[in-house]
Amino acid sequence: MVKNGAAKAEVRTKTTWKNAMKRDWQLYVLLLVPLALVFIFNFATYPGLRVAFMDYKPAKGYDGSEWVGMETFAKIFRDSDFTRALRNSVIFNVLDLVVGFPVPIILALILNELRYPKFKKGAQTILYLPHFLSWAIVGSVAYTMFRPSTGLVNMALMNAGIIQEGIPFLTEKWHWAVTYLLIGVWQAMGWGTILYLAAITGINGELYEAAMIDGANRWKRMWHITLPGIKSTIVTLLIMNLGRVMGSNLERLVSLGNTQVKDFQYQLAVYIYAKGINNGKFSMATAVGLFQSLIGLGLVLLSDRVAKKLGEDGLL
Amino acid sequence: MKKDTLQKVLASALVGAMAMGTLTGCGSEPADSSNSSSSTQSSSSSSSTSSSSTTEGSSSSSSSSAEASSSSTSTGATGIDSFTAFDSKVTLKIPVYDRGDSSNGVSDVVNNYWTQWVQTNFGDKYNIDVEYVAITRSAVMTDYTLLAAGKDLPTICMEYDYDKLATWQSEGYLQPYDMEQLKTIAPTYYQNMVDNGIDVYTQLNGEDYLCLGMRPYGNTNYTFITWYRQDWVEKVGMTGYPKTSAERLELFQKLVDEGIAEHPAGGAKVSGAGADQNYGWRDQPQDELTWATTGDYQIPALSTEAQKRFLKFENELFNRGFKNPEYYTRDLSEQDSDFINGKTFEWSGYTSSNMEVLKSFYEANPDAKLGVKINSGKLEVDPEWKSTNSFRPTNVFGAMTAFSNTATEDQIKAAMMYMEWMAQEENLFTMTWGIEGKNYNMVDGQPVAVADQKGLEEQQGHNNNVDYWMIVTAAKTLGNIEDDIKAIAPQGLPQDFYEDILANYKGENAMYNNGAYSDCNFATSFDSVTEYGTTLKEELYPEYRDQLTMCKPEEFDALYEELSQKYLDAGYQAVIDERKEAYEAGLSTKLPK
Repeated sequence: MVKNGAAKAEVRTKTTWKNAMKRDWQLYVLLLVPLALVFIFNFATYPGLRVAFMDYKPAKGYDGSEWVGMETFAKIFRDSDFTRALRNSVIFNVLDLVVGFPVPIILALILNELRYPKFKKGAQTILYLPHFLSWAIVGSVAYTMFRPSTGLVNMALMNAGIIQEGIPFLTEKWHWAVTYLLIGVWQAMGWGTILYLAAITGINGELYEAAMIDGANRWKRMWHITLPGIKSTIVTLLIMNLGRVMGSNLERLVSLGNTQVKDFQYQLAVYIYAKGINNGKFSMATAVGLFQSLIGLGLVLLSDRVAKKLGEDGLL
Repeated sequence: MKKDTLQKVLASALVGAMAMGTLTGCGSEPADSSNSSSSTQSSSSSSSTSSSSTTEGSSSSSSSSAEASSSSTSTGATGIDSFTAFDSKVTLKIPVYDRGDSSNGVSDVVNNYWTQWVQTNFGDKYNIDVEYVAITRSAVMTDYTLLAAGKDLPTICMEYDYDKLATWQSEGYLQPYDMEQLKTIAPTYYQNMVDNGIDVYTQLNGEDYLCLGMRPYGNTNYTFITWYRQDWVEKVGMTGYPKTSAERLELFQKLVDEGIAEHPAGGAKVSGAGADQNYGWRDQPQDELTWATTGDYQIPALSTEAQKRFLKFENELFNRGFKNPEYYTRDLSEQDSDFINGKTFEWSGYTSSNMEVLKSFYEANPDAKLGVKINSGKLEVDPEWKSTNSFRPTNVFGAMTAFSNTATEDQIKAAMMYMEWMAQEENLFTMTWGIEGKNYNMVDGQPVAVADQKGLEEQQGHNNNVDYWMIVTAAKTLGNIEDDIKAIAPQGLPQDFYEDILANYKGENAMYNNGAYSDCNFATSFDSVTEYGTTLKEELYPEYRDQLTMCKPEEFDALYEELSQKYLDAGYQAVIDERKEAYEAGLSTKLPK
């Protein structure tokens, strides 16, 4: 033991790398695999981004296609469909954030207060389930439930005499906007609680005991101990979510979309798929993707700065 | 100490497993490249050959053909008898439609009894590895684009639509071929083109790109049948299928009034090519320029008078409640189930000996009586709605085959050999009909397909393997229409439709070039179609047509003007202009005088 301790002391002052490698080489070898994966599948694909600056023709390849500089970008920014898609993406993702972000936090706080373990576990499992449903299923169930005249919900409301005419939950754009956002919240909220619940378990139990002795009720404990305890997790997740403000989930948009709500449903993901991939215009799709990522990166860096200014750890 | 060793062993094993996992991720490529290394090499050489032939034009064709034929076939001889095996294995990639589990017939379109049959009877003989490549039927263009992007196009690109081939040519997916070589290697296939008068369509932009399969009875659309509720018509005191649009409205009103059907016209969202055709809404006789510029099957002709009439009628059906008010949220499959469940008046589909929809229909409605919509053979015009009984004759040719720009010389030879082999009567017969006693039985000297082949090892693919033999012909034929219709008339149903289907064929046949005309074919490709076609067809049209269908009748005209302008601005005007230019330059077919 003593010998070991002495060796460690020595390591700290001398060549750390060599000894560390000698001691833990298996761990480093293990690390190589994920590093290689990240390198191959993330960074090694970066040269492909040049497609955004070319008039890329799949059959001609990189070498045969022409360089066109910023022309693709200029074309996109002139395209009124792009402006519409950009506007919708920003509005709906911000709304998603506003409506969807607090819900898992509230839900985690509620779940944390549940005392009967079986009920708590059961409730958690049920809440996680929607996350595992594919959007194709969520979409078809949503249509079965919310069609104006043959949807389950409208039929029930009409039979109960509450409404005379079916509510166009998914077939009129303003109604669609609300339904789209709420279905998004429903699908993601359970899964979103996991990180918060994990953070809550890390809070020192003695704090609660001390607060209880001081006479703090449940509400006060939640407000003064639990919430501040998970504040850094909240900030980290908020920053990460801000990075996604430009991107939307194509499956969600397609499975819930129809021709009557295109005014709102037409977001960047749809634009990239419809005009880029489906049309074989890879340059256009790449350019929009690149634009999206750069804005996302900018937002993450900016919010990270703001968080640090406000005294939080931030993400980076 | 022991524990340490164990840990080390476990860690090493884990690292090994993960490394293997990572390598398998990239694995298929090296495995493939060993096979195709020679082809990659030769592909670069072939692309240089093709570019030189592009510049040299037809003058070089005779010398290169002589070279080509000597290496794949024995000197002097032509056709299948002259085929010899390749010295080294040649991979031949053939596209085959994947129509989804329920329509494929076989469980795996790229590997089944019939693909293996081809390999054994053709591939193994000539040292060719026949690989089938699945192409999603509903996303042909996307699939080909992705294959092209991955430099993995099949040896041949094959489709029924002229526009698609023209687009591929303009995008550089294809290489021209040598007609003399085709004549030498595939004389049977070539003779089929000549005999059917379709060898005039092989050129795009002045070079031979297309090999054309046959389409028996291509002047009609006789396999596409509309079945309707004869019992309903009789119940409301009318006779037969409504002859005019006005009569159709009258019938629907009666069906609704008598509580027989709530939304007799049904309805589902539009999707894909061929949506909302206006063939039955055009002025007759047709104006040739309008026919050439807007009369195609691919891009819906919003902004034309014919499309306006069609959509105005849709608007009427919607506003009078005959169309399902939620049609735009419903899938095509729901239209099938509506008919099966006795909710809609009619159902259309391609007839074959085994019709699942009709079988289910009679199971659900044992007392129902169906009729077949029969074309009278004479042009009939509805004076009120200006609709006619015209239709779209399919096309004079069937599937078009072109060679991908990455195909090597050997691969093109192998592809031509495949075409010739498939065109041989005995091979085509087996691919089409299958094995006697399993897939068909001889009745009165004629083969009759076994309707239900489920569970058979030899089960055929969609519509008696059509996706495998479409390269030669678009429909199987026994040589006369009566036998051909017998072979595809639905079997095992309470009613027999043979006579009706035959009568409809005769009617359509009489209408050909007499009210019903084939689409205009251009000998050139259009940049505007490549640029705007998909957006117009798949994005804008469905959105606009639904707005027009669901708007108030009094708003229809103004909205049609507004949306037509938007549609034209979004690229349709460019398409029309480019087609007009080609038409005026004489690069198109004409209406018969």
